[in-house]
Amino acid sequence: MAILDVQHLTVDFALDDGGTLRAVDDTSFTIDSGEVLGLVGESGSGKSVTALSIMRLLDSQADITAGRILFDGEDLATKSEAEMRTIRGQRISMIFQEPMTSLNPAYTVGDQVSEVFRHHLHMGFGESKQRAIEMFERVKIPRPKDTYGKFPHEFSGGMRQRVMIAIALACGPDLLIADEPTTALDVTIQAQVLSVIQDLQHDMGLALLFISHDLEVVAQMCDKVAVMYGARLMEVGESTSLFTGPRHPYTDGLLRSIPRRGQPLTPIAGTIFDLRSPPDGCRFHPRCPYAEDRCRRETPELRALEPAGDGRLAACHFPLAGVGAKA
Amino acid sequence: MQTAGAAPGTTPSADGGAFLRVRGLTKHFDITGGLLPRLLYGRKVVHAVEDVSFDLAAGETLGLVGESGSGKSTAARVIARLIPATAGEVHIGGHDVLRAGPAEMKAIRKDVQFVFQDPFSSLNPRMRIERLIGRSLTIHFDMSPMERRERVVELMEQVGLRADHIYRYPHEFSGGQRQRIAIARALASEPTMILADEPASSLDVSIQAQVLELLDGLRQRLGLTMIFITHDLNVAEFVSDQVAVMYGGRLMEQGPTEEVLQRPLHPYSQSLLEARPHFGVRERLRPLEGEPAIPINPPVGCPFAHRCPIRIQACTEANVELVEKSPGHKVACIRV
Amino acid sequence: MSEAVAVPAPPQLPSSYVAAWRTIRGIIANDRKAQIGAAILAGSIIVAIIGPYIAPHDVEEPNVAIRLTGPTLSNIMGTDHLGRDLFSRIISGLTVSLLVATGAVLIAVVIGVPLGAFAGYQGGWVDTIIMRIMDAIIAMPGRLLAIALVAAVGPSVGALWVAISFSSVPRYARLIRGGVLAQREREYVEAARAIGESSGSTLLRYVLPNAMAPVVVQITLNFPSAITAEASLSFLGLGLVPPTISWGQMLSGAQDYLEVAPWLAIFPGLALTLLIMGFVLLGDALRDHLDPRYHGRRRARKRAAA
Repeated sequence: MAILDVQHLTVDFALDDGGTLRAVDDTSFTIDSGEVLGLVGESGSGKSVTALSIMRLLDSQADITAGRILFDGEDLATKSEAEMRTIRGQRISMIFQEPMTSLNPAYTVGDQVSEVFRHHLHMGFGESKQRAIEMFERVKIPRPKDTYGKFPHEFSGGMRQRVMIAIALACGPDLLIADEPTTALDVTIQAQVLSVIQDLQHDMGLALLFISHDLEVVAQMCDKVAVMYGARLMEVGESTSLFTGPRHPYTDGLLRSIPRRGQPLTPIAGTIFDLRSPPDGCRFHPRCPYAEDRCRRETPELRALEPAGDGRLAACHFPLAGVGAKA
Repeated sequence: MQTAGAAPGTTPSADGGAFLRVRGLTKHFDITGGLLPRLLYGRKVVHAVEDVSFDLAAGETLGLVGESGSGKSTAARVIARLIPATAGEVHIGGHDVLRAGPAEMKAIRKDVQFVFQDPFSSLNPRMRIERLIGRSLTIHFDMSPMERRERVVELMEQVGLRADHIYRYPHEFSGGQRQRIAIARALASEPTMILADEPASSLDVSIQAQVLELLDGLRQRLGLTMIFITHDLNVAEFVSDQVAVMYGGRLMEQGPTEEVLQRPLHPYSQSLLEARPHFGVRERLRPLEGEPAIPINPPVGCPFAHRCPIRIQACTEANVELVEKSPGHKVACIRV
Repeated sequence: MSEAVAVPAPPQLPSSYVAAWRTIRGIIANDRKAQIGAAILAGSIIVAIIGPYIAPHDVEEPNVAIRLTGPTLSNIMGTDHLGRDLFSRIISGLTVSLLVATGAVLIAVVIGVPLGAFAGYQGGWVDTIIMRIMDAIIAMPGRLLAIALVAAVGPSVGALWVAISFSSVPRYARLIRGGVLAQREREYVEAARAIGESSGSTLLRYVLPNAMAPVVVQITLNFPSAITAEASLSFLGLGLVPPTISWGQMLSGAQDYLEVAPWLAIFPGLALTLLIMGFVLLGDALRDHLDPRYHGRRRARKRAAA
């Protein structure tokens, strides 16, 4: 049963000069309980805006102009701001790339974690402190008791991100949204934080929406992957098969952009279009090596591909063969 | 008119083969912050680069790998003498870089160029492309304005920029294009060696690949010697002939790329490779815990010892030297 | 060379000064405050230049028959105790005000900017010495110092320039030093060194052009204080002496007739206020647009939309 069901989500931004910019266009996907969905894309793809739409944290210039976001069967758009605050605290949580911006520098990290228990679960001071220290243990912060009284600036980036995870998971939410949670971290620290997320996701049976530009991190973390480009979904599928046999030329191009020893790089040519004036037809056609006339005219819908049954969807008129793709 | 395709004027240094020879390179930053803190707390010195030595043959690329704070960027800046060294020697193609006088330094600036990480801050926002690239030509060559402009256009085309953008300002370009401008600027003086500090890591995946491909192609065509600094092991594997792994200001391991990245000997190199996410098998990560310490007044011994799964008492009792384990493959670890 | 490269012809390449002027012009075109300020200043400058030709009366011609009369059709701002036309004298005073203020600001910039730039770029003990001297100057009460100086060497335009500019030199030095310190750490300055630029060239071509914006703002905000400084000194009898006419002098003379002829104080006072307002409005608008913090806010809004 899908805990999150995003249907035809479309988000427009009002620009200062009076124009509009479509940051997310007709995007649909679902996440089951306990499932990890990776949302992959480059800058401007709309992946972060998608996340903020689910949290209803878009700023005032942005508007969901079409589509629905069903969380546990209920449309989030119909919730009042007060109901939303409860949902955000207890049922859906989010962690960001830069934890320092979400932590309050004036309070100890212990206060900030135990506050969650006091505010949302109405615990007393002693109990909430106990639970906060337990959370620090679960995110594998060394010496959790000493950590309680420290301030955010006394921590490294990796430790701060663990504190954020502790806050996010304190109330045992159903869905965690992680927006580039390890992008600012070094490789070994990234691995530590990813492993904390992996373990907690598994133990708590969390649904996880994992947003990243890093294909290998997504491959490591996710059951299912959705690839976004220029505000639209290009391809959705089971993680392992998607990365070994991409069907959309954009996914294929991304994979070929990862440097590998002894293999020539075949990067995608060109750069992303200006979101204010997207190209006609398929948005990827100006950079696509296989583009034909139809791609310039008709926008391909995200559809199930043959062979049926493997759950692969792609928005392409001429999908690649999959395993052993066109050279 | 000169063309950038000219073979590098490699003058072999005294000890034969090596084009770049670094010996005992050390850079300390005093962060004490004045007399009073010094009296109260004593001196605080960051040992950003500590006793780094290596050789690099002409036309080869060294991938300098490490995490933030490992000292890899500082090492590159000291080698290019963008900041002064605390101790050590750097020889590039017969130049004694750290002891060169002003005239020789100008020749070194011509021969050794730098590409910076962030193309949004490495280009003067108030200069047009023509001047950004052209300044280097003005400094190092005697050219008429017309010749200079032609050469700038040539360089722009070489890095895949449109000639009619020559009078634009940097802010009119995307990140990838800006890095191309920075590369063209580096090529303008017809260098024999380029130091590139994470030149592609601030860019999107597809753009990063474009820039890497460009740099690698230019390196091959122009026969450049290169130091390529990166935290990304995929990138290091792709561009380099030699790899050096830094941690806490010191070289941990160094050798041919294949050797170091396929058969890493140092426990740090091993943990770095294991920490890298990869395609294929979806397994739980089992990373090494702990974080690198900032090397402020570091104690003797191996900087990795406090995280090392195989450390022994002796690791923290004396500094560890790089020892050659197989031809060209050196490791600073007493346990291997 | 195998083939000729198609080199686009250089377009009309504006220098950085022209570019800076265009920026200022752009700000004026888009900001009501800047428009009002610029209009007042443009008007003042025109009046100052063509003043002698449009003044209805000779500034020194006494006419005892109409002494201390209020505004009339022929003397629209009235006359003083010698029957001289107040309007003509105010126009003449405007020239003096602008002349003294411009000179004082110019001197402060010409001395303060290179000092601060040198201190910031050089760093170390050079920086320490220069900036401690600047601190010492700031610690001295500026007006008092100016009074002492003019009293010592006697009133003249030159003495006023030195006296007024002296205390604002440190402001420019500090501003530009801060800018240079910030720019010095920028990667493009390091990049300049990497391509072999000399340190002088790096300072002139890379550091200074990017550190000048706050100085432009400071100049427009320095003018009002220079103008009031001149007026106060003249008011105290330490400024320019007759026959040179100054608003401060006029205000000072008006004191004796405040009850019978208040216009003698009102009109020079209004003129002073208007001129200062012109500079303040323009300076304010420039600061809004050139101050990096303002840009930060604007960018943040754009980022939110992306």
